[in-house]
Amino acid sequence: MLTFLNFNLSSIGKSINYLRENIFTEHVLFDITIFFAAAIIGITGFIFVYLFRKEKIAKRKNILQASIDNFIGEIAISESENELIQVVSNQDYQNLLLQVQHSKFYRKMLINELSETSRKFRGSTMTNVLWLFKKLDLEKQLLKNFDKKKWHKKAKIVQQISYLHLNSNIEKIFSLTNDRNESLRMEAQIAIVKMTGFDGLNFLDNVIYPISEWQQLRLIEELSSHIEPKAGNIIEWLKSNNLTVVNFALRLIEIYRQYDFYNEVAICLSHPSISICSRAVITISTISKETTADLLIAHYDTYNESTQITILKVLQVIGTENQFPFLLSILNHHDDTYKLQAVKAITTISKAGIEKIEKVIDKSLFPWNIILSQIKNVA
Amino acid sequence: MKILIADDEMITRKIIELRLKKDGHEVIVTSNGQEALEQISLQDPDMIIADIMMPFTSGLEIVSVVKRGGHHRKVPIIILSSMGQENVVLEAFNLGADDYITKPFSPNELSMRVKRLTPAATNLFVKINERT
Amino acid sequence: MNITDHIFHFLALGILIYSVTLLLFYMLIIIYSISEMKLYFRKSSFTDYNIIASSEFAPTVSILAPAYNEEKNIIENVRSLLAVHYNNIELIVINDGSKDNSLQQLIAAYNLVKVPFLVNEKIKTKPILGIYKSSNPVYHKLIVIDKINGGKADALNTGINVATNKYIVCIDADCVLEQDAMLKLIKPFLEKTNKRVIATGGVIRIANSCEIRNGKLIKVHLPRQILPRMQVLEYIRAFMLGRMAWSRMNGLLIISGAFGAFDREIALKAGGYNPETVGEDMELIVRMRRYMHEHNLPYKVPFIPDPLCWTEAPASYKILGRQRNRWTRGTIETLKIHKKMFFNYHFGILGILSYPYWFFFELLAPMIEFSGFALLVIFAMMGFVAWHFFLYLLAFILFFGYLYSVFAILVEVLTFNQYKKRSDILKLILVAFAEPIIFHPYVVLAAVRGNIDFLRKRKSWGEMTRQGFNSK
Repeated sequence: MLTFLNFNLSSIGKSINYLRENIFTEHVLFDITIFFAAAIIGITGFIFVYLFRKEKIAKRKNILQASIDNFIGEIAISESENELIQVVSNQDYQNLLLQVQHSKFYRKMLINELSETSRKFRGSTMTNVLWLFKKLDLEKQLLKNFDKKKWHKKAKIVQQISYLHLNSNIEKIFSLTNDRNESLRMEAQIAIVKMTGFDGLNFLDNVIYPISEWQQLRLIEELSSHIEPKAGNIIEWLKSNNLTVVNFALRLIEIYRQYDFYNEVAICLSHPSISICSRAVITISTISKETTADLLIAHYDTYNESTQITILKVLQVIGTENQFPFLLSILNHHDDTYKLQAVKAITTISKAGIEKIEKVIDKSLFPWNIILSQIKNVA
Repeated sequence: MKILIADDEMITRKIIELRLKKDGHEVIVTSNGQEALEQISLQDPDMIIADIMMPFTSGLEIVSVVKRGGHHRKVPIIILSSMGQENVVLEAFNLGADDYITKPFSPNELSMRVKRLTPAATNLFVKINERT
Repeated sequence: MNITDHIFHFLALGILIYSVTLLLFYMLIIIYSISEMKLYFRKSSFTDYNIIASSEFAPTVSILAPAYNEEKNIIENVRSLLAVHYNNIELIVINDGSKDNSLQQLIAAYNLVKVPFLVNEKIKTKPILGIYKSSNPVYHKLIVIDKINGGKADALNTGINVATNKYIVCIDADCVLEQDAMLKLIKPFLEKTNKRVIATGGVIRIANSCEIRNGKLIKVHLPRQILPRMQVLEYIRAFMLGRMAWSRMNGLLIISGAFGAFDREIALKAGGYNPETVGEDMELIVRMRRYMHEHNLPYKVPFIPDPLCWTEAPASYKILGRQRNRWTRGTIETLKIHKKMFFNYHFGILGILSYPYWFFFELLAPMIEFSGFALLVIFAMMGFVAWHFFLYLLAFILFFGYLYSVFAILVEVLTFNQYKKRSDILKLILVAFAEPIIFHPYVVLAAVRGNIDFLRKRKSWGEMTRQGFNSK
């Protein structure tokens, strides 16, 4: 055993010696250290050159932005085409426009500011800005090499197209709503809805990628500025294989109170995905009928904890005394959260509810003493 | 009239500034909430136009600070925000904002609302109310 | 060959393998961190975070702020937390049996009244004395819990029990948040569709010498004192390089207790914070991740590189030593509790890479460094190693450390560039050179002490006396 260990150790020793003498030598160590030192000096130098340049560019950019903003500002508050032409033919601005023609940097900046202005303003300001954009023929510049650009640049351009209402590009953007790149796809979806309102939602028909919660929120925000809701193919979306599309369709029904789709939503209550069921519970409560409460109770046992709690909460709003037997039975649940929600539901449905509860439980015992005083305090 | 603008977007500030100057107002421009609060106490503006989402101090905080008391509490405040949700608008009015405009907005409309809120107009409004 | 030779060779081989692996890890971290940063910046270049600030459909969030003897700043801190850009929040302040007048001050400042409130005690905690809400509707988002002292983990658990919202954000009461911190912290929860995001964390920055007014950061300055300045560099390295890279590999083991968000349901299922350890923030993440692995649920723990939260760093050697001592004990305890994961492929990256990395390069590093250095000196004195070889080796390690630091500064300059003055950057670089002499040995020593204290089963937190921000 010892000899074995000895043999092993000595072979390790040999190999280390080999490493020491041939690879890990002082020379090599020294050389690598020198390389590190050189890299440190190099990076430090780069940092300072970079900082100097950045400051210079920032200064230049500030001056430029100030003059561009002055220009756009005067355009924005003009009240007639004559006035607009007058502003443009001002000598200072003529110089600026000349530079815009020659420098990519200037052009990019002007397009940025114009699209931001068009996004943040309405009325004559927006019309004036769009007039200028057209007059300077910037659309061609904006779309130059669009297909060759990297995804993040493309996404930005898609945004600007929608801010500037360049509606001739709708088809191109629509084809990007199913793009492989997530960010680009998301911006295209938003842009299409911004430009065409509820019609833009047609991309949901064949989008194969999931639509994240974040994206759903954005789409809903975007839709809120379009007044006339349209149902579109909502029935198809509810049957989509893409669960996020189903979820989104349920949300639309909820927000715009689409009572016509009650039956389709009811079917979703037994959807194989529990998250869809959960959403459907909330959706159906916003378009409820007399029978909805009992329908939810019929599904109650098949659901998980959080969906059950959701049903109890929903019953506060849509429940009637007909659901009292069910709710009173929940009072025996071992989890206090269920108890509290059941009590809340019963007492919200009817003032007389509290007496019924007190008949079933001992109000001096924990947790009932706290639950009841909490309920009374809120009321 | 002396009007203070607080908005962190340069182009928005500029357009409001130019539009209000056209109406003959004197304009103080600030780019964040902190600066706005400082300028309010230094320059005693007659009206405040503030965005909500700004660095350091939000427009809603400006409203609550100004309306809480002190000699600026009667200065009208117009909130100018991209947030159009009911709860936010209600909160702004609750804190004491005098008007609320949602972005995207029209500078001409803003100008009209400023006119309607000028102290002279408000006084007139109060008098009419008292009479009825 | 005699036996001392063998021992020497054996040790030399060990140190060699260890250092080479460490260097490789550092390079991997640099590469991963850069690619993750690039992606993040490209995405943020056209992202508008404000949507979830006001959307009524934005997820609901409960902010948990435990407070122990914070009367100096509590009113200000609560006010700035209430003003954070996010609409769907409730703010839960947990007064963990403070001995000062924190509670009375809160009651007076926010017109609090005691309300009956059923707390579903899903996690066992020390008893609650009362729950307070404001009678002024302007402060309807505020809930204050008064409870018997039980430590930070216990206070946070009480908060988790009381919280009603989907996500919880834990925050140290003395932290200063950026205006959009909540938006950036919550957004990742909404982005993933095929995986569940169970927690997110953001960058912590050092607030010493910064200008803070009304609980808000007005101007960033490099700390004037030397120790906090050292820690600025340390934090840049840890957050910009380390955590970013680990987040990319989905192997992040720690989210700073000062500011992090969790999925309440998973936190509850995993059992909440563990009051038995001094490293409760790390332990919770590890346990939540373990829970997800054991139930075969796909998940992610993203990390946000934006500076979101500013906190005061210890400015004296004594307090710094206590802090590092506690961190070390926390790490040992966490790794010990979850030793099952060590090189366990059932836990994926976590078992194969994260855990061993933490074990070998975070936990053992100070010990190995300490003993390796000591041994080398002894060997050199005994003549086994030539002095000049020893010096070469030392220079090699030193310069690698410098390179890593300077690289971290480069990343900071290229990305957030918080320190606007060029002289500040120069100072940071100089600090990097001074670090191995004035800062590093002390940190290593504190960690070694932490190990010793752990073996002696000491469990004190180490009072963290704060200076309080100068509110000038």
